[in-house]
Amino acid sequence: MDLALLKADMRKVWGRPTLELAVGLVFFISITTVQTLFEITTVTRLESAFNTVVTDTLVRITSTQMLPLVILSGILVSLSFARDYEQGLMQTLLSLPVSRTSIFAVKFVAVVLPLTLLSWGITLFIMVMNYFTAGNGLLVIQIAAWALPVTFFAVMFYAGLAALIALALKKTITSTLATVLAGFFVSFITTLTPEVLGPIADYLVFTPYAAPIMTLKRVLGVRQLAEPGLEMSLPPWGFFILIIFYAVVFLVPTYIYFTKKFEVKE
Amino acid sequence: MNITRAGLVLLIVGLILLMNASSSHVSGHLSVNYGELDEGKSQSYTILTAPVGPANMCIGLHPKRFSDMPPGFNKYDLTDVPVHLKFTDANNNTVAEQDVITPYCFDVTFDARGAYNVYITNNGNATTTMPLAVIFDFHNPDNKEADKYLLSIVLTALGAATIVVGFVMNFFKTRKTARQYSKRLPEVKS
Repeated sequence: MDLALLKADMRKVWGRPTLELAVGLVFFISITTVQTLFEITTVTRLESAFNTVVTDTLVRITSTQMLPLVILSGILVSLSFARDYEQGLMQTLLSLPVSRTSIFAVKFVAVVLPLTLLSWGITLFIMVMNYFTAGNGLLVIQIAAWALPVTFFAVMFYAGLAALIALALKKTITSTLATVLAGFFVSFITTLTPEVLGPIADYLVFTPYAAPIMTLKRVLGVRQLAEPGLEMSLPPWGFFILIIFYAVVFLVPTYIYFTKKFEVKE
Repeated sequence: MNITRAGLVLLIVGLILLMNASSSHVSGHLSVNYGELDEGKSQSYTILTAPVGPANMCIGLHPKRFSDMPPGFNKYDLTDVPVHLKFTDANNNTVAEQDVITPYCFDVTFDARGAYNVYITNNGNATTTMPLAVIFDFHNPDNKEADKYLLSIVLTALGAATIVVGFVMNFFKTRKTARQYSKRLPEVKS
């Protein structure tokens, strides 16, 4: 991967005011979901009560961040791919002595990596700020670390979807709107109840929007409020495989589409 | 990322945190009860809390809401039960230790993040329940999280200072560049 190209692309995608808006949006949404630490328990149950509070908060922050990440990945991938087609920069890039794989990787990484780190960095900051005390600081960091791979694969899924839409439409605004709408649809279907959907609603935990959150819940052993459903039939590592599958499901066809050289449009 | 942008990001984070931390998020009456307490036996509660400031703590007070009450809650009369009370702060220092008669309320201040312990020994001659209640004023600004509030002020101030430094540096850099370009070119002798 060409580092100079990556640096240039990151500067272009994350230019003013994108980074500031992204930080503001994700931080605002995350901080408003966190409750003030106040729990009364017994001395013997302190450790398990603390674990429950920390894991519940982590799951709540991560699930709240999903929708902003859908919107941001849609906008940023469109800025990275579609705008270059619109401005004619893609043709210049493709004429450089750099492989298409490298260009694709640069464009994808320039969005996915900073967005994941931004989201996880904010999560870690909030978790440490709320729960870091001398005795259990490492435990908080250890629990918060689980959000990093989960967020990464979730962002990869939305970025892959956004890249495919951006390459197909090649217009910044249109592809941004289409990606955001697709993201909203993926999010919306997880809110449907069995009364609306029937028995198929039990399978909604395996959808791309719910699967990362369910992965985190299963890995951390978060207590379910409702009656456990089909999610218990899949082990935590099974959920990890599922979100890795979702992460590459749009990425592979997008990569093939980009490298087969039939995407350049005047 | 230049210094002005870093300052702006810090300022945004600081302001959002300030907005969140400058008001109280604990309010009202929280009461818990774990099992029964036999005569001569002790029970210990832990309050895991942020530094949320002043509150009123009560032992032997019946839960306020019906939803808080365990089955058979009214089986015991909680009035005039002699108990020994010990309250330790987040650093495990004893704040209060005395013999009291329930229901007993006293003022506490949660000034550090951590676990505060309450040890209660039943000195009466019968088994009873011994609920612990913490009562906060209704949206009292003193009940804001002190450490988070301080951090938000520090981040906001740091962000503002970094932006100013960035602007000053940019100003001098621009002036220097302008001076360089405004230099007269040396004359070429033919």
